[in-house]
Amino acid sequence: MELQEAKQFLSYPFDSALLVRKRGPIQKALEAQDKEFLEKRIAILGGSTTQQVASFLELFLLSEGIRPVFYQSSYARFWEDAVFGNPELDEFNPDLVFVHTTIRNAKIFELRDVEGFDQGKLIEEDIARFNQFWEALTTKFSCPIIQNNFERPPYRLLGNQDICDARGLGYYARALNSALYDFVSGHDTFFIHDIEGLAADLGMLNWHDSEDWCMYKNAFAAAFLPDYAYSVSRIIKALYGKNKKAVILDLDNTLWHGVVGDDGVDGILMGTENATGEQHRELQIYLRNLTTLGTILAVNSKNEMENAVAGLEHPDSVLPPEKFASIKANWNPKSVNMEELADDLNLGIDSFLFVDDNPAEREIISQQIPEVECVPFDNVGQVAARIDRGGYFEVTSYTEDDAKRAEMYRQNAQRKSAERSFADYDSYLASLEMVADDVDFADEYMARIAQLTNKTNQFNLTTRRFTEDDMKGFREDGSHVCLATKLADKFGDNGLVSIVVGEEQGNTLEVILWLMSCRVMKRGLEDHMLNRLVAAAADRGLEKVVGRYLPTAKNKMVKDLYKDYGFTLVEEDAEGNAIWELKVSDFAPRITQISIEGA
Amino acid sequence: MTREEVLERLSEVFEDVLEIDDDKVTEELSQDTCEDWDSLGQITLLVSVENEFGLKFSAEEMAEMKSVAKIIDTVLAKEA
Repeated sequence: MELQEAKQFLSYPFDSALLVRKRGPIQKALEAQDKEFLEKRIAILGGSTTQQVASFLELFLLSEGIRPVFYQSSYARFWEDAVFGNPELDEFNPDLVFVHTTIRNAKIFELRDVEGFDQGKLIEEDIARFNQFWEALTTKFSCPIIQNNFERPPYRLLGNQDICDARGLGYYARALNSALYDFVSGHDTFFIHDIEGLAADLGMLNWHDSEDWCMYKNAFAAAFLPDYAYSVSRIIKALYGKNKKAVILDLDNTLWHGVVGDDGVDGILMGTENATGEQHRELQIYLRNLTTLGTILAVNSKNEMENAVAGLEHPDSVLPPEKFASIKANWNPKSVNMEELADDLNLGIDSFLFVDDNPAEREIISQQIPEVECVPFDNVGQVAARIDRGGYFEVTSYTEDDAKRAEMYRQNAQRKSAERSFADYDSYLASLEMVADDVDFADEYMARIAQLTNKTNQFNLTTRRFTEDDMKGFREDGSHVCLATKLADKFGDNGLVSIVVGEEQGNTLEVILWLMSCRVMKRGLEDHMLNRLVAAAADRGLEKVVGRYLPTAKNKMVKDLYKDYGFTLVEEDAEGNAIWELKVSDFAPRITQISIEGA
Repeated sequence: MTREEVLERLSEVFEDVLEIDDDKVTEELSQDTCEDWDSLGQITLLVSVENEFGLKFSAEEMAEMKSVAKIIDTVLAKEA
């Protein structure tokens, strides 16, 4: 089976039956890829059968460039593994823990004797049991933990009252979920996998399957394994920085009903007075809501620019031109526009989602730029649901910077046009009135620091991924220099954009992490970070600063960074891994056009 | 449907799920004689057979279907 075919099988929405049947060949095709996989150790703690969960999860993760190595609890021993511990699990040292429990694991299903039993008391005991489990988990593991919530039970004992009457099974499930959500709010490495939502989506009628449970102890109908595994994989890929970042949109018959070039601005519909127009409006509202979480929007449309802008400025439009980081309205092939957008926005083209009502345009992009995910639809009413269930923008952490991201991208576009009007680059930089705020690893920035560390690929010298816990460890242990800086200028605040971590080794300081957001490249922030790093090394009486460059498919731009800053090459191997060093005494602080907050 | 027709469609399923060459899929093939046909494969196999023929097997039927001959018997019986 060809790789493209395999990826098509796994692309949402997929044919579950076909996926079950072709799993073997699909896996082979994915594994045969000549690429570097991100290897992750995933512990699946199950309350029921887990083998097939693991095998389908593997497929979806491979398709995202993640190669999983699994640990699976002995049958249904999730609780014991966490509370009593298990040497095999400890030795496995997971990067991520997934708890595969369902409503089947509620105590009520284990009871033999119900005479005179008190459901209220049973619920309390069950909540205590699960809290004990969750406490043990979070104490043992500082890695991300994904925990299923509880779906509706197989039947409603009290019919319609079952959900709100304290004797109901639905009520029981709600109580467990309440306790779970309370626990989550205090633990930011704990993530819910919403199987209650998933099961409702797929259909409760078929979710609970008597044969599957009684024969194989499958918590739900095996036919839903692909959907389930896909759903979990959305969270995992988001944790490893593989969310999509931008939605690229067509205009005619996508954002509005009609063709603006033919029908005129007055002829297109996107308001509430017409049903089809209102469907487009619903999509616009959904997209606008996505931007509040940091998703970027851009236009890729075959239109005259003035017509495109006129359409977006329509009185009923929920998405005026300033909501878009970039608008490409021209008669060029859309694939050409895509490449330019990736360049303009400084984003990997694999972070794009493409929404276009024309299947021919989607097909061309799929062929020419397969990394761009195209959302298939026949009817504009389907789009929001498709994007939602595709899980492209799964939220795993939410920082203030996310809310402002769309605005930041637009500000950046403004900076680019300001740049064109200055003859001298330094004068241009000075005109920006940049201010750096060296917040370092203050508590309120740790989530953002972890986020940046896990998703920055281009300006990243070592591409080492660390969890929030690892970073806190560096901050506390005294043998690491931890630098993190925010950058603002007269157009706006870029937020936290650069992180450097140096590790003391004998009489040298080794740079184990140096990354920066591409948005602020070549403005002097690199110099500022280096100045601080070398000063820190000098403070500790260290002789040298050592930097490593570990090449990846995405970080070519920093291959010669150390060379440009006067480091000497110590050694370089055939793969391009390089070690550079700089004598602290040889370094003179570099001049930048950035002023320092508080200095 | 004839036995031959069922066998032909089954061979395709076996080829996909257990990655066995379709010329090896004969009526005599069973869990005992085929190394690749293990209990985990059995689950996926039967689900795919259900999907292929649009049938649903009961727990008893599934417990019996450990050879190609038996699968064909069951499919034909349910079709009738």
